[in-house]
Amino acid sequence: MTRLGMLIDLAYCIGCNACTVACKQEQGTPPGVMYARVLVREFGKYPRAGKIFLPILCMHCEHPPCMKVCPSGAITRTEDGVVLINEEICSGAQACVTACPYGAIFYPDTLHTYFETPTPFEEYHIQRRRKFPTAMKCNLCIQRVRDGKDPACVVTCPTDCRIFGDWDDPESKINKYLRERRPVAEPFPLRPDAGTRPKVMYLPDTYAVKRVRWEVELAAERGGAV
Amino acid sequence: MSLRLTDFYPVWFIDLAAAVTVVFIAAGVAYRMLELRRIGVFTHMAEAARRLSPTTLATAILSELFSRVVMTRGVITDSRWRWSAHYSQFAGFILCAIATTLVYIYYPTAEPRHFTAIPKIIGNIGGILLLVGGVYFLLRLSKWSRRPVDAVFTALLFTVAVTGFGTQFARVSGGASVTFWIYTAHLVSVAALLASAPFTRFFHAVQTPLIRLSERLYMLASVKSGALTVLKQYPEGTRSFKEEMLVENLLEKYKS
Repeated sequence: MTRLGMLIDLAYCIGCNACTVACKQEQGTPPGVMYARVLVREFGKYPRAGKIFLPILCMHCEHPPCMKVCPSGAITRTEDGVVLINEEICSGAQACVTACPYGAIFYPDTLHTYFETPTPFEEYHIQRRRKFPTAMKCNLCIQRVRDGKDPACVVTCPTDCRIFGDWDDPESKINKYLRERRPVAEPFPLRPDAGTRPKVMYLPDTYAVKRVRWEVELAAERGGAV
Repeated sequence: MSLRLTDFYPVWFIDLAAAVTVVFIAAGVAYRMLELRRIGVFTHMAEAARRLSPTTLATAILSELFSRVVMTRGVITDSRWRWSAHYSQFAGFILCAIATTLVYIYYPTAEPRHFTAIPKIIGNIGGILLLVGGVYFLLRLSKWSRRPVDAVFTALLFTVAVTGFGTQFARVSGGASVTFWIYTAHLVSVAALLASAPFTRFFHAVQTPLIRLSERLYMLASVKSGALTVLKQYPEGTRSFKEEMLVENLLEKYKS
């Protein structure tokens, strides 16, 4: 059985947002809608301040809450595990937007463009959409994947911190990467408490782990918070 | 003609059928509640109940109900026809439920009633609305019903209305046997509709407003607690808040 997903090695993410831009270019999303984005958090205090980068996208969960709550049945999961929204069926109830614990679903009310007069690129994507407004989210670049290519964010990543593949195939890029590059590290999901079993997993940034723990220890010694 | 189920079936059989229906409903509701719990609906509600005053809570709930039920904001925004059919079914179901409750209260012996009786008028209007909405959705069954259970739900809702009218007219014009069979079909379809409700699209009538309400209350509670200090920082509702939770989750993972 195929379980398409992504492994993100946080040790290599430099927060350049190339994935964000590549995704916008591939999907032609309107302003304010970013399927792939990088969250940044600073921690510690000068001179020991640090930054962590967290690239996020739709987690293509095995138990997607968005699919369960959709009153129209517009959200489906394909055989290879990609969660998709059927624009024609979406009724705009927006229950999925609330239910998604990752904030991965967007519902732009107005189809505004970046320029007063839409560019040919924007025109193309406006016409491509069958209906508007509808709920929108990352489709794991299914159109590229079915052509045998990797998603746009994966191809663009300059540090190759995003690895795309089939979790169930031992010879997939994901499993090879885990075997060869990070044999000790354990992939972990975000918000495991939500019980969604995401197929986008993360590998820890060992340097950031050390720094964060060091800060915690220092704070404990001083009797304060990080 | 008076219709009493006990004239046709043994009491134990009716009790057993009712018990089976109730067990199905309870199991389904428990399953759905677990799903809602996973999404965090109850955590959000509890947090809101802890932080907000009863007045704020009541205002938020009434405002959400008014916005979604009366003004139907955010309910089917893509097609006026679909919206009308949906609202027709919703109003029809509510009116039928009111009519049944009134009959239960004011006519416990199920004696025949005139068409001008209040429950009859309400029930008939509800039935017509159910039929109108039902016809629309049945004609578009392949498009809107993605799962077989949803098609069953749409069909059952329509059957309830048809058999309801059938029973009514059979009591006036038909024989006892015909009336009895149609009435039995009506009751079986109502029981099947209610028993399958938590497993079909029926449940979205509870689920969707509850989810939206929980988000609204959670936002208010977050503002009150100081977690959302300036609402302008969160122009996209709770998305930014969810993102912060993801980063916090990662930091916790690193700390542990």
